[in-house]
Amino acid sequence: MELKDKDQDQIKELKESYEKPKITTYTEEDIMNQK
Amino acid sequence: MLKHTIITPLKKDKIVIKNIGNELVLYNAETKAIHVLNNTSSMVWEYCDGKHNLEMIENKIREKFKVSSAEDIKYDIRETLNKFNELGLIE
Repeated sequence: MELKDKDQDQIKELKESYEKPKITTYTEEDIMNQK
Repeated sequence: MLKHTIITPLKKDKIVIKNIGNELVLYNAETKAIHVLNNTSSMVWEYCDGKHNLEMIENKIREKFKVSSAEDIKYDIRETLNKFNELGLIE
């Protein structure tokens, strides 16, 4: 069954919004300080 | 300056991975560092399997997230891969 444009739009709406990739780094020293 | 040498990135062994909610926590035993990845960088990480190149990863992200076709997410992915490389997480 082919999806109609309206269905495609609804699927798009259900998707999560795109967030820029983020990487947070904690070094051993950071963790030790968390003293 | 972006590197273009990462063709099909591959996760290194000995990285401990833990899912916590929407985030992924990686522990690199070599550097004793912990890296927390958000949803998008987790997805880039997921496809660092030696089989997916940058374009394939981009397609996967476009399938999952609401991204405007004008948005250049290839740049974001390349930056993320470069960061993984710098942190010693991929080869």
